[in-house]
Amino acid sequence: MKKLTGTLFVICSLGMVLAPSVCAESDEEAAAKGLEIAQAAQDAKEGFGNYIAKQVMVLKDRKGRESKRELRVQILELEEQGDRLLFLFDEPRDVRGTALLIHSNENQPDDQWFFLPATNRVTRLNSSGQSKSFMGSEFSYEDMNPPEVSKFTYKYLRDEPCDEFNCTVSERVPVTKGSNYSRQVVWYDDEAYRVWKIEYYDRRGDHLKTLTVNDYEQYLDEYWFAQTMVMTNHVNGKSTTLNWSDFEFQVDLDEDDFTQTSLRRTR
Amino acid sequence: MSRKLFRLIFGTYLSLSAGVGIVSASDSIEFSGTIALEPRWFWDQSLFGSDSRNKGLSNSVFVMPEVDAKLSESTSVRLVGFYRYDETDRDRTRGDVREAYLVHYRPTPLGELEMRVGLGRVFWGATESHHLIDIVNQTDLVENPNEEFKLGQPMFHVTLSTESGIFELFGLPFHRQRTFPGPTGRLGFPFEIDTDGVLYEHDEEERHFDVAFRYSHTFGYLDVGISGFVGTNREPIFVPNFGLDFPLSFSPLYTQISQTSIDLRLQHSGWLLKFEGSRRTGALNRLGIEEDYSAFVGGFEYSYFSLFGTVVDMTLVTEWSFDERRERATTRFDNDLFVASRFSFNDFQGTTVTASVLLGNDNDSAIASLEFSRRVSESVSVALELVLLNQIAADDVLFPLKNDSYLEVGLTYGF
Repeated sequence: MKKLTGTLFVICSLGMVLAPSVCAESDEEAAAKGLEIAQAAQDAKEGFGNYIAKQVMVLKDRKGRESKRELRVQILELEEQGDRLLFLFDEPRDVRGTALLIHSNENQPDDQWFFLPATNRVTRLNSSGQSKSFMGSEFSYEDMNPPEVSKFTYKYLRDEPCDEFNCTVSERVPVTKGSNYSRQVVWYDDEAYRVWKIEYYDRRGDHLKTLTVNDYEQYLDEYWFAQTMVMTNHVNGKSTTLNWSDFEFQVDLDEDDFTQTSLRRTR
Repeated sequence: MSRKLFRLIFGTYLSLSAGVGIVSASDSIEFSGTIALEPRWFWDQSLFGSDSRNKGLSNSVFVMPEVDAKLSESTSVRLVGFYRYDETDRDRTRGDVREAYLVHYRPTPLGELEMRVGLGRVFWGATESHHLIDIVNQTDLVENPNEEFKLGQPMFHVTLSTESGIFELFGLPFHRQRTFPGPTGRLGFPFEIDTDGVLYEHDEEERHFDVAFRYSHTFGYLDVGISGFVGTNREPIFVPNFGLDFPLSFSPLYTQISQTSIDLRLQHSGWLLKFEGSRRTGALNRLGIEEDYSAFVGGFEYSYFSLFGTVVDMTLVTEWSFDERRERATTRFDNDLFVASRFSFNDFQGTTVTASVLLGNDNDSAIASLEFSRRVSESVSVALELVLLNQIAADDVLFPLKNDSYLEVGLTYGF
């Protein structure tokens, strides 16, 4: 706690110059406000039911060489439990037919199963693999899974302009074990609570990666989904651009499509 | 391949092809597949056999075409063919229909019901080193001595997925014979196997209708499976043909067995614990005497991510396999320790390296292997497999393979 107060002190010292009113707030108020924003952002995203979409990942290394990954994703929202996710790998060819099933859990590590087409085998993935790179990209398994509100503690930091919007900036600290991050700093616009940027700090507290989010489009007259996400790794100089397309909402998907039985049927 | 089986497979294939034909006009049909060059290099002369089992390079190539077709939202067909040409082993040059099935599923008040008919591949199990309980499909042993490759099994397969678990029932109307390397092939037996003179304990021979069931469920971080099988054994025992033949040949004999088994996977704070246990009755032991037995394989998997601050992940696997028949066991997993380490480099090319060793606790046998795989383009990948068999003890079931260490270099193109 002492450490946290120290951090807050540093942030407030900086903040004092820019927005003195912010730092008049106590730790508790900053935490409550942070949670409130995260919850509002979550509420704004909730209710789409389910969707399918295509993802194309372009991996770029320090020298500018590129490599491509293609996958399809299916997501189902559940009322009482965490979301269900299914990733179907199409490219490169050697991983074609591989599928990843994720059952998100609210306060504990997710359940993850892989389907390996060569042997028709379903195998459980180690939950400690959250920090594992997703298909060699700069996104980790943890980054690919939209986080549940209950998986973090929060702290509101400040307001600042971002492009044409006004953004609120808050910090979140993972509470579940196995996260690769000590904290994340998130930029939400105050219009529709869309995420525009996330800074990821590693366990030592160093700035590891930055995610920038762009090209938001509205679906079902209500929900905003980004088409472009760029994850830049500041340590190894690599980056990954994730392009979303072909969104289809409220398709014929239910819990039966996210079981170990359906996983065997994915190809 | 027997004529009866050929007719069965070909019949299934034709009727499914007709199904595919109906939808081929639409875009719900997908063709894909794999072509691979897989030369193997054996640097030692075989321990047994004639000059025909020479050391040196043995070229081989296989093609595996796949067709996936959606007949409706909840009905689909999958066809997977396989053909391998092998330069030195005539028995390794062969074709198989790996999969040719129709699958349909629908919701019911109890849960989702899935029905599958045709040739399929079913995997049961949890562990890495040894697939003790995986019995539905026959092993395609001529493909690779690691027993990972399986022949397509004719089956009726019904799955009911309920809130309290997944219930599966299998009807298996036809038994497929295990494949073996031929007289001129490496990794073979010291004697000739008479696959035309195969023997069955049951009068109905390969037509015996086998049945199997499986119940599996997830309790929190624990996956549990309970399975049963009654029917013709997949693992043969060899019976000498005392007759005029010289040299003496052996016929595979398949007895009627029953097997009950349990498999577990438990995830706990970074550890993955795995276990398979089975009880089998009706099988013959290494001495050719009927002996009921229990066997198990169990161990753990632990992964270190971002090793030494790099993007490399390392997974350690340790498993112990035990067969209470010990020296009378028909497999090499009588009392052995398996240790493996897998490195994933998380690079563009998806490079992985796996090193493993299987150590006998009852003898001094050691089998080591090193595998490497890497993509060279979006559709081409290269794989190396080095298998060292020269440390096999004289009393080991695998002793005939003592001089069959090899290096395989695979170049695979996916389309």
